[in-house]
Amino acid sequence: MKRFETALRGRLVYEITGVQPEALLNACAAEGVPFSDVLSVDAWTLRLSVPEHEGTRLERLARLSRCEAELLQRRGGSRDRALLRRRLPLLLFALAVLLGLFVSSLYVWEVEVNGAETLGRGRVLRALEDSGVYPGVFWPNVDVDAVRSKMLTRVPELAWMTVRVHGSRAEAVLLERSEKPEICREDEAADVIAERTGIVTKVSVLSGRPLVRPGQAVLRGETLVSGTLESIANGARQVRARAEILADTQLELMAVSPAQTAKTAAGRGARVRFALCIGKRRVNFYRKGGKALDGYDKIIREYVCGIPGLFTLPLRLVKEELRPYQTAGPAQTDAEELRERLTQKLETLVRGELLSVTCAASGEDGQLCVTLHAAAREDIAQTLEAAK
Amino acid sequence: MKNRKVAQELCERLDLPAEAAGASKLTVTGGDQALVENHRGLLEYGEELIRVRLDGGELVLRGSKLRLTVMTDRELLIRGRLFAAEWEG
Repeated sequence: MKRFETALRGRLVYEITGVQPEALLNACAAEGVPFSDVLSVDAWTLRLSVPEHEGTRLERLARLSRCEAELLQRRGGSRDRALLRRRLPLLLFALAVLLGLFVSSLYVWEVEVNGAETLGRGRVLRALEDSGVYPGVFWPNVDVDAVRSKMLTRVPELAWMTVRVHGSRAEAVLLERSEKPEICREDEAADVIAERTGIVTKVSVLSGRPLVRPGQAVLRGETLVSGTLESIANGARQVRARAEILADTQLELMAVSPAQTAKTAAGRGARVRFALCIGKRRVNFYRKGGKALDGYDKIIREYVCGIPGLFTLPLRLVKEELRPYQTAGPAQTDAEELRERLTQKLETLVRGELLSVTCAASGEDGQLCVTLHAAAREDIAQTLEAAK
Repeated sequence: MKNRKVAQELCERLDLPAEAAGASKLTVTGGDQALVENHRGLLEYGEELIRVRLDGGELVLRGSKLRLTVMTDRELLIRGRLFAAEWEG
């Protein structure tokens, strides 16, 4: 507080020399001149400070007390004001920057999406933009409830969402809807059909009437266990057929990819170009921006101006790196990669054990074709609800 | 001097405190602050010794790092480590 008062009102530090400098202190007290920071240098010298406007009175009292008053230092007050006057443009610039920061913090310059696990970020951002949350929006005008209602209508996969604003950064927090589990009614009539073509090896019926035996070949969609039970007393009775039917099946999976693969050529021919985005306006620092870039990979990096987590300014530097690429012949790894993918797919399809797997690759008409042939022993039972 | 004696006599009869009649008063708080009321000015000022003129005498304060914090025509506030206060008539 004292420092603030000193800066505002200013203080003068005097050195008083005389036969009896205490006489000046007495005179000041009698005249009501406020002084402070009294320091005894030696028997004839004192140092003290007085408010800037009391300097003249102190000097007069010093003469009356037969002392010599020497001004040692000026603190704050008119001295600082003069310094500030000289640095007015700098001060105005600082004020303008502060004002700019304040105004900028009222706008959203970055939209962050959290919780979109299956939904694509792009889709969420587009839906947010349609709902009124986009870079450049004045966030005090954003009604979170209205945004939530619009988002839930636009994206049915959402169970709940909210928008939080941290300075110039809007954070959309999403909760995706979990899929409803399949509800099976035990009293509902159903048959068991074959999910795949194969030769039945084992039949275990829990309820229903079996229509196949081990060793019998069945086609896909063929009824294996019927839900209709014949009864001598009451006629036909419908039940929910349940069974485990093991069968030897054959599966064939095929994948096709272009035989020519694009490979990025490092080094020569690579170009870098920059652009500056101010709010929604973009200033390109290059010419011929609309030219098609065939044969180039474009890698875009954006550098946002601001302090992460604190504030973001509507300034983004965009760096585009253009790397030329050339096509190369089929590589062994491509066929291997396709085979790997097909094997993974096969494992998700088979509900049993794989007996044998063979793979063949061929290249025709510029296309690489990989075929996976598998023999499996698996459960082919599939429940089919009876039509109502 | 005669007026002061009359005033002191009056204060005594009316049960008023002596400082109301202009008598000097020293209040020491915690050994590091001394308030002198009704003083008549400083005689000597130093970090280890401060002499204050009083009505009909003087007060000598001894200590270390003594500093005059506030001084008005009636009061003196001194801060620092106080060792002794001597009243000389």
